[in-house]
Amino acid sequence: MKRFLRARIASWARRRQGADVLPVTMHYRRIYILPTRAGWGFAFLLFCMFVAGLNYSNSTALFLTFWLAGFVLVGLHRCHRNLLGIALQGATAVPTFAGGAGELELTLENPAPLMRLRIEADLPGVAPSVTDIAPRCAARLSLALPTTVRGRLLIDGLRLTTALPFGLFRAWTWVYLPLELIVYPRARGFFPLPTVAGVTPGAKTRGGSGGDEWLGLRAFRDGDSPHQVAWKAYARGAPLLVKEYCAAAAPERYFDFERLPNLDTERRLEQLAAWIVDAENRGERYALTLPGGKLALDRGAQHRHRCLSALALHGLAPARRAAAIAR
Amino acid sequence: MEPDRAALQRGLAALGTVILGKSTQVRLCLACLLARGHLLIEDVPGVGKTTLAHALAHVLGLAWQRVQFTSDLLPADVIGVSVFERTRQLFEFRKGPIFTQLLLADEINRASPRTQSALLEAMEERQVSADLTTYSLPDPFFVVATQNPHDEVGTFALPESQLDRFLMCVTLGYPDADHERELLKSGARRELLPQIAPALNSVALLRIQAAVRAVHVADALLDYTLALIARTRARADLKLGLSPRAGQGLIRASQAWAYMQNRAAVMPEDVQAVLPAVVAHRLERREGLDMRAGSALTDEILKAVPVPL
Amino acid sequence: MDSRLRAVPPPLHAEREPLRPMLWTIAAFVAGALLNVDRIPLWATAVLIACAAWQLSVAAHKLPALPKPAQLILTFVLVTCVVATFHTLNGLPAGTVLLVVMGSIKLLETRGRRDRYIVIGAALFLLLAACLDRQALARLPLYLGDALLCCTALLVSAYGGAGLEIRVAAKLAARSLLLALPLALVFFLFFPRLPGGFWALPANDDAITGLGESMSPGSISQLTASYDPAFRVRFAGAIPPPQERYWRGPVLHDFDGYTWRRGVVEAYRQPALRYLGEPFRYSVTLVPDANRWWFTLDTVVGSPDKHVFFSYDYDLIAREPVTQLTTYDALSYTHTESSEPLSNFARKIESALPPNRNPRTRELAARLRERAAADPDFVRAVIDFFRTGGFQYSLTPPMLDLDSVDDFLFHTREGFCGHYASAFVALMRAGGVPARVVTGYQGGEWNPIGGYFLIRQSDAHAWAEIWIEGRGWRRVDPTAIVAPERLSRGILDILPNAVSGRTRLLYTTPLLVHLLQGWDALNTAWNERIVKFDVNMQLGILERLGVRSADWTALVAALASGLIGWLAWIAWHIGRSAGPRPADRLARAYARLCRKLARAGIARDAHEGPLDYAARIVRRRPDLAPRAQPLLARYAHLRYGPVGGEVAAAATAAFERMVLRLHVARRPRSTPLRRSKSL
Repeated sequence: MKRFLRARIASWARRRQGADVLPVTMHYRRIYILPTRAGWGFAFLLFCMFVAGLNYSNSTALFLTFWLAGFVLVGLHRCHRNLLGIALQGATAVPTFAGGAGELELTLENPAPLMRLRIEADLPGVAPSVTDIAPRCAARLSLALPTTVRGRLLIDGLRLTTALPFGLFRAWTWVYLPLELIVYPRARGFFPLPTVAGVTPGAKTRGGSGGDEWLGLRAFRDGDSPHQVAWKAYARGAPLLVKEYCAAAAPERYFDFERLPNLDTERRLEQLAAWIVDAENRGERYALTLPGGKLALDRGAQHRHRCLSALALHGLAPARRAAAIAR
Repeated sequence: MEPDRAALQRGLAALGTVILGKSTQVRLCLACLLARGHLLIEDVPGVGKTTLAHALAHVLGLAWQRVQFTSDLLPADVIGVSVFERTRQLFEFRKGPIFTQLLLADEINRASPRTQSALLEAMEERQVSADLTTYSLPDPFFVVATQNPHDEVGTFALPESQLDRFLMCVTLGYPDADHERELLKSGARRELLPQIAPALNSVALLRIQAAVRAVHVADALLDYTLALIARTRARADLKLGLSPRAGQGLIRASQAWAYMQNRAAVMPEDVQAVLPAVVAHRLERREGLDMRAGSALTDEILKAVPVPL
Repeated sequence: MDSRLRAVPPPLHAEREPLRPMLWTIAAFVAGALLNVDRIPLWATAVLIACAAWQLSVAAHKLPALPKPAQLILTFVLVTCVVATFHTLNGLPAGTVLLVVMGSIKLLETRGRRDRYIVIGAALFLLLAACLDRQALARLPLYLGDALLCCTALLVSAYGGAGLEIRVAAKLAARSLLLALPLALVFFLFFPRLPGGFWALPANDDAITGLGESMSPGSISQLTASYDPAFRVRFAGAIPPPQERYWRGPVLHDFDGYTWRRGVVEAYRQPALRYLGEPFRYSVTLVPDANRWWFTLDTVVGSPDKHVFFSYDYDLIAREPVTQLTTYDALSYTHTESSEPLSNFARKIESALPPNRNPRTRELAARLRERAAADPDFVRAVIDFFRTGGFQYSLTPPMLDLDSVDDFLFHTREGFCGHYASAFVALMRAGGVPARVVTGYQGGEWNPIGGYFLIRQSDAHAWAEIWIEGRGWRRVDPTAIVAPERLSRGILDILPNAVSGRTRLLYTTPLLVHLLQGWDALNTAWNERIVKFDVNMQLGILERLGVRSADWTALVAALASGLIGWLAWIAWHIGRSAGPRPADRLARAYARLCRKLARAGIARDAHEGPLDYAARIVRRRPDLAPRAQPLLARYAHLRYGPVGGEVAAAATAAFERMVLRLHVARRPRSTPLRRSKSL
């Protein structure tokens, strides 16, 4: 019932507010506020105090009651203000693999010279995340988004709330940003990395410690660093020898969707994801071919993201944002 | 201190004759050295990185050494080496090229990480340790390094922790049409170098550095700087915000810039002027997000942080 | 496959209960209980302390929580204890103890935020109970402190963890209370007060004895002067002269030879009085003393309250003992006359003496009576006897034997007002003149700060009243005859040893006397204005505000406008601070400058420094530049330059003036655009 109500109010607010564009500043019109359960309880307490004070015609008690009532109202405004003026400067969904937790990173800025206490971000079904924001400072909030299947996860119903300072009221605002989380396919599969298709047997370059492949020992020459001298061998009575290493040249990998014929689509995507992760970890260059397109040989975080995103969105229609908003 | 300022202006003018149309970058480079910071010049080949570095060394009138970094360069080749004296059966330390006032480290990203880190450690500590002995580097001591970011094969990109040791990273970029025409007309700029008279010397430089450190930094300016730093830390799309060391660097560079503008105090404009050079190479976007140029990023940060009233 | 977020239950946190909110909750509750500590039995205090200590240990992970069944048993046992102690759960004393006990048990099972809120609510209710019980001004700071403590506890509890600095939290709570103060005042002043309660209040039977209804001067060997206040009197208009300041209390008619009593009186008709001279109007505020006497200036005209009985001997006797501060207005004349004769019945009562007692007194009276022609002569003779008989005023007289008047008149000749009044009335009655003893107070200390008289217990007095046919009851004060200075000066001056050294010091050091008077005046103001605040005073305030014929609708109107005004103010005040706000004078002046320039069409960007701004103005509005640029440069220098101290303050003030004087035109002055030749 509560959830239903919340959804109804949220959709009403969405129609009223419309979609948002970053940065989103929390102004008066978009902040809603209601008493919490503690707030209702406090109201009842005040009523009892009021009746007692009136019955005893006791000035001090009545004054106390009125004062606390004023305090509650100040609390209401303070709660409202705790959210007022905060600007949501950034909202970034950090991709993840299916089954893992994606991250929604929010940047909240407090332009005012006052401390913001316990600003909470929450999404339906997600553990909320809380932060304080110092005067004229910004803070980051991060929400863990549980995922199950690859694809595009629409993030809907983002809410910023606060019950501080006295916990008697809860102010909140809905933020309607076109946010989506790319969920990569699960990186799993039992095929080893495909054998290098077009390896360029890189010239082995001699180096101090650039690579960790052992090359051998050679005789000491004047000018060699003492760090490279094989002291153990010298101690055993051998002449001064110098250890030599080399860096291995990185091979290149070509991953092709079509070359995994014995699996269904999802399995293939998972296998490809596993390879990409693997190749990237090894510092190798790789290319990806999918039925819809091709990504050229490269390496680096950016390339990895492009490849994994392609896998994540493989076969999915482009986002139906309008439909999502209408719902 | 007026003679020093005059000498500085002369030096800037001289640099302007060598590096055409890049006065901002040249000023930044000079500011970096006045702030006792190491400088990284990053750009594609052929825009005059090395010429600029050489010109700086000339104009400042410092003793300098140049090391061309390659993948087989060993730490010892830079730092120095303990040489085994067969006759006496003991090691003797021979100082490397780093023992100079200005070290030009060309193509620093071509060296192996080990050599890089040896150099960068020396840069940070301004001393070299070898065989349990510590050798101080001369004062002043600068490293002006150049690198080509687009070279990928056979290079070792400097990790952020190392990049943090460079106070500034300056990108030259192509000259505009007029200056390029003049360049083509007049031939190699490096030939002009011997004609430049040194505008300063190491004593004057130390004096200027002291004066730079005395440039007033008001609380309001610190507030502004802190807001800028906080901004980088709060951005969700950055892996890491600026470190306190970066903040110190920003203040020092701003002081140098203010000094070069003949100001007694640092203004927000000074911070804004040096911020891209000081900050851009220290910020890294998170994985999986669109990469944009560092300058666009710093521009966004500057635009987003209001100058406090 | 656009999938939405599924509803996943939030992960269960096996989080440690943060210590700080628990600590503050306990502190708030214990403080609330301590405000009532003198009214709760020792065992309840012990329970409170034990529970608080236990819960502290639980919060600090030193002890396990008390199991549920144990809590239930404890609850049952303790409630039984309360019932056993008070025989009820109703009423303020039992209710307070019940609240303390139940709150202590609740403390034991306090785990989350919700529990903490309940305990803090109980703490607030304990504060209320303390307010209901006692409203003394001296306790006000305690109440204020407790309110602040509770509100801070609320904030700390709402915040949870330990990230919030206590200083910040306390400041926030204090500021919130401060902002709420105007509303509290408006409601206090204008919320219509109902006269009387909704249900009967149990009477308070713990009483302190004051002026008694009997007098046995012979049994007292030492009278200690108590400086406690008895009542306060504020005159509206004329103030009676000192020798007329007799405050009438119980009249004693019945004498058994040793003790004067009010007697089980068969009341006679009050002789009609004719009032002489000007009336005195005044209001009396009685300090509760559990007696039923309402003291008035001799002689009061009638009863100010229908619940107070105006007796045949001109006393005011309330139906209920005075247990709380009581204020009443009264009207008195110091001179009266009565021409009608005293009835035989009354004459009999007022002339009665025990037959076989005090023979020497009777003898003396008979002797004096013989010589006197009429009653007044007899009275004069007796007065002469007192004046010349070698009597001495003393607060430490010797004890008297059963024929107390004889013993006093012919043997000890030493005593205080009671002795003289007693002896004088006995002599009168023996001489056939109807007479009676009047007890009450005499004099009073003028409080110049509060503008009222304070009558202390040490001002207690006894005097005589005699009936003179054709003129009525006349007051005779034999003490004044013996020791005239007793009436004009305080007891301290005459008999400094009658009071303890501390009291003597307190009431003879001028500065301290002044301070004490100030404090007493403050207390009186508090009692009269705040504690006794009622609907009449509310209407009085409205009338003073200019509302004619104020009634409760006017009250409601005042209340509503106050509420709306406060709400608007608070919304403005609080909302204002949410936006970025210039922090200091220089910033405000600079903001003003920027606004002026913005009106001229060239607004500063938020991220633009003053020098860049100046440069832009030079480029875009050269006409403004000569005036704007120096100002911006000056600001830059003041804000970022090496200036400080007084120089900076003066320069800032100068800058402010320059900004104020700056006038910029909206449009650039018509400088005709020069067309470039190429166009």
